[in-house]
Amino acid sequence: MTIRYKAKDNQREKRLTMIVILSVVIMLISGFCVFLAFFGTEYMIDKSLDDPDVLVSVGIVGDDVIVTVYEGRRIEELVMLSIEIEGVTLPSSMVTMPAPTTGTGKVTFKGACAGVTGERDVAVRGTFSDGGTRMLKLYTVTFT
Amino acid sequence: MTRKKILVITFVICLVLVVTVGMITWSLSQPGLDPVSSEKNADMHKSLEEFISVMEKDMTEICSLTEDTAGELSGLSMDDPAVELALLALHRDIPASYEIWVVDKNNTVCAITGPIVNQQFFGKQAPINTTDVYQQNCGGNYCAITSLYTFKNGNVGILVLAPIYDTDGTYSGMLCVGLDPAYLFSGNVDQLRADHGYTIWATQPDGTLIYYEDTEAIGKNILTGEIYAEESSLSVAQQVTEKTTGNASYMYYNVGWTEYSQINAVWDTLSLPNGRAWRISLTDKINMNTAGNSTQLTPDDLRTFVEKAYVYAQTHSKEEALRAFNDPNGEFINGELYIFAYDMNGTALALPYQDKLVGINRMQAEDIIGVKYVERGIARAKQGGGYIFFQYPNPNEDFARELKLTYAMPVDNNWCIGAGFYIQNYTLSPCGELRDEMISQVRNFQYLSKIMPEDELISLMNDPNSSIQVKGLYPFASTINGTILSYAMDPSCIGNNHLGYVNSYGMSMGREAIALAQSGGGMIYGLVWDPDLQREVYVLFYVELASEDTYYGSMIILGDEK
Repeated sequence: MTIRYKAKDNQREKRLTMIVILSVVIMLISGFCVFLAFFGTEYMIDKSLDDPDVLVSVGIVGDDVIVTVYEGRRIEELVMLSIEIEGVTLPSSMVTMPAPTTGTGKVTFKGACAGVTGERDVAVRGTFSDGGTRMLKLYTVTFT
Repeated sequence: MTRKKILVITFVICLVLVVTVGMITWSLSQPGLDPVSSEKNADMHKSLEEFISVMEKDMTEICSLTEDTAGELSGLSMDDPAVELALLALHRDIPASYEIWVVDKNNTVCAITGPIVNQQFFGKQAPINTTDVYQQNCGGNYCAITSLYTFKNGNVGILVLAPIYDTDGTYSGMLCVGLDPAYLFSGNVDQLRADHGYTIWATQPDGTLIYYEDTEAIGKNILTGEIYAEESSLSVAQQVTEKTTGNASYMYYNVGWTEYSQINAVWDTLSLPNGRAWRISLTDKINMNTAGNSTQLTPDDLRTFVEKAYVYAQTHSKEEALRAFNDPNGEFINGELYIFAYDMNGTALALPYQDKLVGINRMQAEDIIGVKYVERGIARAKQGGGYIFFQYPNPNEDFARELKLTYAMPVDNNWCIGAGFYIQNYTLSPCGELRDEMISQVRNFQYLSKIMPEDELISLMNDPNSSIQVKGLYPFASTINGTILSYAMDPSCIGNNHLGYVNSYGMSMGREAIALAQSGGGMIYGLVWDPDLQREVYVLFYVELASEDTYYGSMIILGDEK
């Protein structure tokens, strides 16, 4: 009986092959991760753009702040809207208003910006039927 | 002759025939230039002569006022209150002036009129060497008129310079008056349009436009192809710069670039008091409104249209949204309505019918009256959205200038969108003289505020019989916080805060006036309640900041309401 030993070179070859295969696999995984990071993020952004919780805009008409509700996947759950104006303490009666009964439409915060001048951040928050609150819009309004 | 040679010759003959026929057909398809009758030519020349004579008179008066003021400043120390008064008086007397300043003999700004922001230039070196520029442009005269400059604040203008001497005759500084060329010409051009149906473009001898109805073209050169790129128009442009007088016809597009037709021009030379010359060209192709079809759209339709675009912009990437807004066949074109977009610095992002303007900063774009409509539209967007008025060529009315109502709103803090429609079938231009008087009245208040207590000035403004009142003008004054100090249109408002007052379009004219005054002052259209007529009337108003907490203004009622 003859015992045949594999040549040392073959072992090296095997290791080399494994290293190459592993490297290729790692590169493929890395490439896939980069692809996911790049296109996945874009997809997520697009998806979140396509489907906002509630899409609103905020503007002023005279002394009133007007919040317009347009659309959104949680629009039917929206119960209340509230506003904050940077540097302005609003009476509680002016801060929160019920969301439009039809889902979309305008909500007027009467007298909320009476006497307000200059440039200030205005935040619009929505309160949903599950009790959760979410910032819907933050915009820098130039009052004068 | 071999068969091969015969074939080659036949082929060459056929080729020559095809090329010749093609060229003849092409040349026949080109629109030809019709001759202009001698009567029309004479009429155009006569109108041009009248126009030039009026402009020469205006320029002579401006030079004379500048020289007189330089004389008044002679021997005065720059911290003498009389200097400020002299500059304010000159600013008042030249409504076409931007700001007026004085540099000392070291070319350092030592006095300046205008809003508080201008004071940042005080003590700074002037951006040009005024003595050199004066030497190059005085032409042996006392007063120098320069070529076109772009000032530090982005305005394009002409400088009128007059040296100031000490009592012993040594040079002590230079009086510098910045002139707005669009304003300088527009009143007289409006009159020409109304009286004779002609319009004007004016150039320096080097071909630089100093006046063009599309004010964004001012500063461009007619010889470099920026304006006139076609053979016939470029040839006329060359003739205009080479010959002091003449007439010619050329093919060019109308305002909306929809019609290519013959334009007849006559030109002559306006000699300025310092010996310089401007070439003034009068042309016959103007867009006058004759149809008078009012739009059926309402302001609510307009806002709804813009809000639809807002939702699209919020639910798509900015690139996708701009691609959709720039598509002339896309869903954001609806009859005369289309969506435009700008960044908050005034750079056009979407203009479906004027794609050549996309990427260009239009913050300084003015309508024919001087309303900076891009700047004011962005100001509305920064308020969260709102309406503005301005005059703009209406594509549905042969590009005649009409009052346009625009609704602008922000997409986010970086860019905004808008759309507009034409609400009047006639042009709401006040006569140039009344517009001059409106500006002069406001600047007179600035002058008077330096020689009398403010409450005394306010009393004069509130007195309908005082000497500062001008027929047809309604002065007003307010604090920056919105408290009305004076309001000739409705004195019962005095003492009230007007920030909350809105017209039927939801526009707060008080907030707009404050924003305009704080941005350096200027003109804007509005709609205000007239207590005598018991209805809203269209107005044009001009405001300037008087101090850190007060502004002055004046307004004209437009149209034939009164």
